Amino acid sequence: MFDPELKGLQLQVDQPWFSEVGSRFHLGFDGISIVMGLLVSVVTLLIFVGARSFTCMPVAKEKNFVGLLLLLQTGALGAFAAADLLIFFMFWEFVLIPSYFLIGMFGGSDRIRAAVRFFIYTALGSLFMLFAFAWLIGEHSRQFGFLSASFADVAHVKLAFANSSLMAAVGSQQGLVFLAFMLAFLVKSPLIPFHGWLLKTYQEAPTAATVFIAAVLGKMGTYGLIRFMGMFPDAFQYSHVLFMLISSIGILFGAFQALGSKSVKELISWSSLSHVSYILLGIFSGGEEAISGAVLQMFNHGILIAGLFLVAGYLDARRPEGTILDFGGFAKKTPILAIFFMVIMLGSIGLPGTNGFVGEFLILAGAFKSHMLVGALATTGMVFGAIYMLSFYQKTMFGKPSFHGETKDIGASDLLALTLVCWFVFQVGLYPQSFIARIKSSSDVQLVKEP
Amino acid sequence: MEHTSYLPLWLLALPLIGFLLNAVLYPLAAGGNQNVPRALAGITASASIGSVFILGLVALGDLIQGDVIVTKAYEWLNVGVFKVSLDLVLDRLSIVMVLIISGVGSLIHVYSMGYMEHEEGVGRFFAYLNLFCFSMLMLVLSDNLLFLFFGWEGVGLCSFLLIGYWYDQEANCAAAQKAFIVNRVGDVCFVMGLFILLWYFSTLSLSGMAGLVAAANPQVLQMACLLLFLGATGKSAQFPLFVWLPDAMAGPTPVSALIHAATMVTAGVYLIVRMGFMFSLSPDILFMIANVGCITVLLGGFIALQQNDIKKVLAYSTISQLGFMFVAVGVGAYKTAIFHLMTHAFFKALLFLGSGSVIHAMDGEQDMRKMGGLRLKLPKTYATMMVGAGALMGLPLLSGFFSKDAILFAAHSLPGGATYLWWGGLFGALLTGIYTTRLMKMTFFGTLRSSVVPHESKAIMTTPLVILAVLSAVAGFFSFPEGLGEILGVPIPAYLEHWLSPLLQAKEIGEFGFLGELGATLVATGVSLLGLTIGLVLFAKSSDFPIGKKLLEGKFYVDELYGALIVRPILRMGGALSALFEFVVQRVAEGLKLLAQSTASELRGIQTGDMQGSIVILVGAVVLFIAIFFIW
Repeated sequence: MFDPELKGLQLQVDQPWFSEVGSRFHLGFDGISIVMGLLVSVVTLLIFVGARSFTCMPVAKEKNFVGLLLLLQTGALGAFAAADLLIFFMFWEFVLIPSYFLIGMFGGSDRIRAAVRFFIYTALGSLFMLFAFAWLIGEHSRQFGFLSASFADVAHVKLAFANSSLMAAVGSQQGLVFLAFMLAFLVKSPLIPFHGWLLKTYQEAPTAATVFIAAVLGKMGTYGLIRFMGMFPDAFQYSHVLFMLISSIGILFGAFQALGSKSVKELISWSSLSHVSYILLGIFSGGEEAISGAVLQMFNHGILIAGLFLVAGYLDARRPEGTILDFGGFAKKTPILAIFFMVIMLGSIGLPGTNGFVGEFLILAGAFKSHMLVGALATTGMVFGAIYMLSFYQKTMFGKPSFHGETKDIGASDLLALTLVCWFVFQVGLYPQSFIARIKSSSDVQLVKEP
Repeated sequence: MEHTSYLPLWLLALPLIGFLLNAVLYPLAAGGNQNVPRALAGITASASIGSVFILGLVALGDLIQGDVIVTKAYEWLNVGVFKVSLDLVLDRLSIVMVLIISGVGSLIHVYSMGYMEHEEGVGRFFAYLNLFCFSMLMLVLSDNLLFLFFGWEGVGLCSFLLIGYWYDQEANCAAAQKAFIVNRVGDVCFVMGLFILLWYFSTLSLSGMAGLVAAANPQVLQMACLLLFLGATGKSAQFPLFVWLPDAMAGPTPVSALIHAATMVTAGVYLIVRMGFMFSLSPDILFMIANVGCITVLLGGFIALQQNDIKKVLAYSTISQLGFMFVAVGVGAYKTAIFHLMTHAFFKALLFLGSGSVIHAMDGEQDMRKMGGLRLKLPKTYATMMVGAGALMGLPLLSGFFSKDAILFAAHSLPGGATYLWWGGLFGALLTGIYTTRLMKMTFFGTLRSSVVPHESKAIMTTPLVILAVLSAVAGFFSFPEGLGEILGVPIPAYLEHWLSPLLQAKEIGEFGFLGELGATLVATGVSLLGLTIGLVLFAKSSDFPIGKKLLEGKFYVDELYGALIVRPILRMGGALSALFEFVVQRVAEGLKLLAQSTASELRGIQTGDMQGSIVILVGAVVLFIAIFFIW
């Protein structure tokens, strides 16, 4: 069992594996990765329970589909549990293969292009990461005289930094490796302007796979940031306000895009971009409160976005190919779905008592402390987030029913999945300490040291 | 003396249980059927809030003996300096609020059982009402600003849900959304205020901060107070964020009475009084509050002159009366503000419920131009509303007379006050007299101007009216001005003022220069009677105010102004950003594709067009990113 009182890695597997580069097959969980592991497992369960009703396909195809999803789960769990650079990289890349086939084989009309685009973007990001890993392993062996790719060892590597000028900062060892890491993780998360793959992927992938991609895969990027940023204290200190600013703009940009969206899936995709920007803002703010909030928000966003895409799936199945305006009056026809959707929507706009509030509050408080103006800019996102979410809810659920005929409410398995979502919405919202205590047990969740 | 008990927790738990029964358990027991028996839903909800009132009376007994009741429920969050526990405090101020909320709340719950008798699925309605009471009680009982914010947002949510209760009407949904979003604008400021306090004091506990403010940097306090006050202008519908309240009248009338008159909208006043220890150290902000209050008094009063929807008149009247409360807190008269909060809760709830009874009798008609002569058809509603109207106008010896008079007196005589605030308040009182007379005249006098056959409401609706009418009549004696009592030789103690004094130390009696206390009272009385007379003369024949009809009917075009300056630009920005994004991405992709095609024609075989464009965009972004890094 995982013991929240202990610091450091638990439940470890540590076997020799690839000693030529100092890599060991080393897995283990600490407070941050156990929360991510829970997210992966819950989301997979949600898909198998909740997405069945709108994912109809012949048995032969369904076998492939389920198999690919399970592979995806394996890859994601591996990446979150990895304690070795090479293992992390392997799982990180491994995830691409099942996602590629899930989008390419089961997606919408433009699926091939979406799959290729997704693959290219993330694979390119990975190249930078591989470069940074190689550099770190090399530096470690030079500084300490033995080969190791273990997180714990590599964390001791000292990288030179110069902040005499911007040129010097970027050109310094730490600056270069830092930028390489940032590129890899920010493309995956994504942060504007690296979000080019997001919309197409989320729209074209089958909804069941979108749930996983949006809820889990993006988190690998933010997880990587939290895991590795501690190695670049100077570069981080030097640039974090800029990245906070970009994240704040991302929050507002995503919200405005969502406001102008024409379809349900598009709106949820943009809302995801906006919410992921909150997570990034928390990471770049750097204090203990903000980082803990960011980890918590990674979990929250995963649960909420999974819930939202499930709801989108249920709506699509009842009224396929609709724009938002074609819906309406669902609250009368599907009252149970309306209630669950309400809870998820409120979580998503961060109402106190739901999970979204705790994460957002910690993140924004941390950002406010780190840089008051940027924090204030990001805080205005609370208004715009409420605007697009409320209009979305009202256009679909309220108003006069836009079409006649029978519409069945959600079935028992859907109900079970949404109940699970709402359970976490309230557990985190009403008793966040149950999660925070685990996150805090991690070795160090503080990136910016107090002056 | 502090003593620990679970009583405050029960005050919160009871309405929550009522909510869960109506929202979850009954529908489940009825097999997923939403139509829970009407009586069961109503009685459950009324019983749960009624027992809060009884428990509140029990607690009052404890408090009289000088205790403060404290509950430490659980540690909600503990990370870094950020430690928040659910601590509830029942002290002299919160018990007053608890009794107002649960007392008026119980009456309105009972009334609703009659008012909602023709509606389907009232389980949802009563569930929301209970959830509202839970949130409101959380707001007044919490010792921690974060949990106060829980209640703050919770009442906003319930307001949203109840305004949009009839959600198949587009207009109701729009009003609900407007209310939520305007409130959110205030809430953003509120949250930023919390951030400042959190980082400065390392705590959000009110009792913790009270011990630290004396040594604090006044500029930090000022900033925090300003932001919290901006939050309060949203919730309490003050200038410039008052625009949501009139639209909120789209909800069922009992909701308007409970949420949009008696309780929720007073949350901003409560917040400032509760945090008086901090606001008192920021005299500039207090001065601003008094001025904003004064502007709101006049704004609400003017617009109410020319509204024809009976509920809209009352809505603008509420805005105006809330303005009086803000004037009171602004000049430092916290106890007086709470006094007016209480009397206003009684008479405004009465007026709204009375108007509900009228609307009920008129088959849903809200336009006063189609009413008239109802005093004969609805004698009980008429009689009780007359008391309410008298109290609102401030006719002598009714409750509003004492509380409004006390505010006017404080606005002039306290060091934080100013003569022009007194003049403004007096003018506001004059307007109150005029529009109230108009309302009563158009509704109850003359002849009926429609073909409906009105009928008096049932006892379940008129009994709460009678109780509220009695309270509206006598509540003034809860805090009878002692100075006046001495002059007149009637020594009635100012109970409420004495009750609150240990908690809110501020001295609230000043010297009234040229008139003296009796003179000031006489002037205020004269102004109320003048308003009544002007109203009677002006509206003897017509229902239109003679000056600036268009401007008043258009509500000074504030909504249109906000629409043109804020709302539409934001909505357009959403659309425009999408379009711009599409355009830029398309052009960049095409341009780079052309570039790539011309420079690498030998690779044409594997080009998939868009894909290559994407790569180039990615690389371009990298370059841009590094460029930003350099420039910065």
